[in-house]
Amino acid sequence: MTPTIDQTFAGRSVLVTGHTGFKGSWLSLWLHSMGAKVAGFSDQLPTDPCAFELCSQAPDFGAGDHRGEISDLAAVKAAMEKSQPSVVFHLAAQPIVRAGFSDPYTTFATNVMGTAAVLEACRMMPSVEAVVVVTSDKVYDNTGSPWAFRETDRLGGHEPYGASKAAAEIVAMTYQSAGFHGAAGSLSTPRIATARAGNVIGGGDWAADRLIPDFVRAIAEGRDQKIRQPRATRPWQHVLEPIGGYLLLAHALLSSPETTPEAINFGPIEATMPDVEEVATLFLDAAGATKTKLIVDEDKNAGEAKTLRVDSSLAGQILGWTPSWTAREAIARTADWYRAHLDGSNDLRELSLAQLADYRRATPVAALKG
Amino acid sequence: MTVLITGASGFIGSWLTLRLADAGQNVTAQMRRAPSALFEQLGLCEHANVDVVVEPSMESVLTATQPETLYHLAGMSQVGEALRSPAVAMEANGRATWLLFEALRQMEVPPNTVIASTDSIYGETSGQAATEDFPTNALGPYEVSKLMADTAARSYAWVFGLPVTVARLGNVYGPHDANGARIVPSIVSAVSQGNRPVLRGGGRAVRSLLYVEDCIKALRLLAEKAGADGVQGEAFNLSGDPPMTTLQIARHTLDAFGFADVDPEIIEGAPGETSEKFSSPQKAERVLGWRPETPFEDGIKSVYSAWKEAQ
Repeated sequence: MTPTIDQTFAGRSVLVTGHTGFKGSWLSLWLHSMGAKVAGFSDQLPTDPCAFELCSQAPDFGAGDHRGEISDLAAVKAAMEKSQPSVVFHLAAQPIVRAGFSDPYTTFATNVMGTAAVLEACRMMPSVEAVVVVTSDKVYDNTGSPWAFRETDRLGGHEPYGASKAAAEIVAMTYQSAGFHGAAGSLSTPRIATARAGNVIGGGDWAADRLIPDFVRAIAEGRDQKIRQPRATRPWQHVLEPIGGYLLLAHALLSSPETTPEAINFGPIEATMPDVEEVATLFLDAAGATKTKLIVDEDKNAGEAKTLRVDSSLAGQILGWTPSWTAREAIARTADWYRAHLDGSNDLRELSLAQLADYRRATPVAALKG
Repeated sequence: MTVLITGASGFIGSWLTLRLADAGQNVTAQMRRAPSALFEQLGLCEHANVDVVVEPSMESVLTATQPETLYHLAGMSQVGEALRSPAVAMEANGRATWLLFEALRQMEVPPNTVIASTDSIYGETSGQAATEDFPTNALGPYEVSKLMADTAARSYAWVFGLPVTVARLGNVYGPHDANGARIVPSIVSAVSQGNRPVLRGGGRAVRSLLYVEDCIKALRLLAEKAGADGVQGEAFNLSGDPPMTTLQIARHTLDAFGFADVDPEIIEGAPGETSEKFSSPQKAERVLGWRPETPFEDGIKSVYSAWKEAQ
């Protein structure tokens, strides 16, 4: 029998950086539901409303709900001293590609120095056994090769967000090196792996410039919503898919550190993806939006339409990870969540836990079942 | 146990003959022409449990053999050939099937029967995996001829109570498939000659691929249960999971053949050129407890080993 992640995380101390974010909230909710002792470290609530307020909630963080800049080493250290984590999930970041263009400096400072601060604090913290550093599928040097990116492909970056995440990968490489720890006199040498996933959808995301949140705002305000690239496809995936991957990765770092890769992709494996127009139509339909119409205003000059894909074979081979929900199922769950929110439901936490339970029933990955 | 396989000389027929004969069943291997290279290569002409019958009339072989199990695989299997000779395709795949069923109906103890249909009868599935109740929507002569056989078989099961069931096969691949028109052999053939595989429609065409050994397991289960409730008169998609794009297929093939650094030649076509045809094997899992077990990465390695050995 494969040990389940419940056995790994029940009673374990875990620190989630970026715990107030969209992914961080779902990860914390899942950890909490397995009986982990969860602490969080974030600068602020990312949006109003946000998933943290609606479904995760401060009392989950029995081991501390810490606030501070992720690049502030002293603050990160203090949070770790208090929570004594065994596992650290590093998600805190400036996560928006477009924000990288308006504020490149902060993007680099947060994503590169934030990672350095977390890993620096970890090497002085004997309690820490495993660290999962969440980067992005945009860390690869996009050479225009027809293949989906594999972990061995070259890192690169032609815009601040991707470059900062690729730089975070390189920072992690240093802290993965035994030679470095020996020479630097580290008190602790936790196992570190980076996780490269792409855009995800799911309830509780209100970030600017993302398709589903844009539609949620339009529905809430009763106005129409334009799309500019109806034929573009994105690797639509539910937020629980990569989060299950992060949990499996931490579980592997603890149980079989020697055979766990240092970087791993988590992307969709579906052969076909609905395009933007279909996603928008499915979403509006499933969300029961009657006042909001989809306006297709195609921008023929847009250069961003190319689909970026990662090859997730390694996650399948090494971790036994595979996604569970199709893009269409992910859209349906996401729409259910926002519909409940728009209808004024005040128990989105209950709904989120129900969706998590559904996910854990549906997944073919034995270790994630619960 | 006596088994009759029609079209035993074909790709699936040869492998099925081998597996059944090796399992100790007495196989009558019906074929229209002399045995194929694959059939000979697998040593089936000399196999103690195989009786090779070269005879175009399947009915007379059926009546003479009186088998307990019948696998009806004979027919015109190439889409291109059916396009060139539609009337022949309809005869070979359609009419031949109901003539066989007429003979079956006259038998005192009709055999448990599985016929090979195809999941291409659904036509384009627009990004969704077709289930068995999906509307059939393909008007090519190959697809129509197979649909005739598919429907006729189910009709004989329902109306005349015959123990008949229908296997709607996805793209079945495996070692020594010589049919270069099929997707995997065509990529293997390019790659093994050191050429870049050519992918039309941007490499985004989507297919279900099924490893031949997985296919044979499912066919045997269907034959066993052909008279059972929930199986008799039903159709089952036997397709690999997950479906893959031709780009993914090419990449795994190049990996297996040791050409990881070769890029495919991708031809972008008109938007309508990208074809998505794939089906869901969930009904077979539910009813038969069968699932495709061989990931493409592993199946294609076996294809490579067989190719290497043949060099």
